[in-house]
Amino acid sequence: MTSDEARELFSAAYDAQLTPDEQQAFDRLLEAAPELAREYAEFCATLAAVRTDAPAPPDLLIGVQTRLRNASGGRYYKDRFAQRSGVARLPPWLVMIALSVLLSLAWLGFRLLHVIQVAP
Amino acid sequence: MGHLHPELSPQRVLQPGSPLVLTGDDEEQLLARLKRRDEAAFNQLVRLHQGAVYRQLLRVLGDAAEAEDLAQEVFVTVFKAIESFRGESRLSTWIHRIAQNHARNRLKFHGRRKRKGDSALDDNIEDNVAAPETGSRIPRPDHQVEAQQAEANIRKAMTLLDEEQRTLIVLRDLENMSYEAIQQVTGLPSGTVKSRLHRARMALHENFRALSEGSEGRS
Repeated sequence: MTSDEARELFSAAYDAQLTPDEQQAFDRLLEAAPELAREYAEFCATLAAVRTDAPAPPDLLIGVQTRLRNASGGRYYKDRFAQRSGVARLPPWLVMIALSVLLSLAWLGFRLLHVIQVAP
Repeated sequence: MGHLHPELSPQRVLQPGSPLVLTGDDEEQLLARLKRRDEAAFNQLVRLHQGAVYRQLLRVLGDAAEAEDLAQEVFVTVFKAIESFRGESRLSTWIHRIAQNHARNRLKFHGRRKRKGDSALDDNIEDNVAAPETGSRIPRPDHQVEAQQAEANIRKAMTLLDEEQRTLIVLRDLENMSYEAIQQVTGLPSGTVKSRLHRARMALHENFRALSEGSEGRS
């Protein structure tokens, strides 16, 4: 077996896919050629470096749920808080009008209180 | 040795940090619930596979934000297409195939943008290789620098491969998939998987060595 032939077997050797005869010839050559043995060790180290223990981002599931809620028009992964409060069932324009009326009443009440306090 | 998720097999204990592996029966139960659009089952599916899908995309795309965005897209596709899963392969193999298709489309999209002169993704990769994710252990500062450099070089070396080469390496060397499972994901014949994987690994090794020599020369 030549060095070039051995290089062609690097991948199979790494995966333990060599036949017993191939493995024996491969091992013999690596013993006889330290430079090739170093090359194979570096090859294995490179593949080991591919491994990463990077965890998935913690909010990946929330992102998926949000996308599904939006894509399904709220059919899946309904917004439970909005659903409980009943806000989700109201059209946005009605919510805006209701908020405006509430704010106006609050302002009027404040003004009235001010007038009562100022009046002798 | 794998452990079953408590939602599927409440009587079994899930060890912290252990891999989540489903048996065939558990997978069938999960699949039946998924096809009924059971949201809890889908949450379960995402928790089981999010790490593997994210790491696959991280290695193929070389960019953490891109990988997260695309991982979300992958699971949306899984949710929409679960009816079409006929059980001819493991569920995980099917999910990896969807991830591979998404990654391929994203890379094509970036390839088109790059040809038009927009190199935003390359800039992102350059920015991100300097900030690798690390585990929970606290390494010595000099080891940390070396590890960060090695991580930066491996990410860069991966980006220099073509999409098929990256996918083969990710499936085999990151996800530990068998040749048969890789065949199912990529659609390549068995002999072709082995020969192309070998070429991909050799190319990665050459890229990594060149980058490592370059970074040693600079320091």
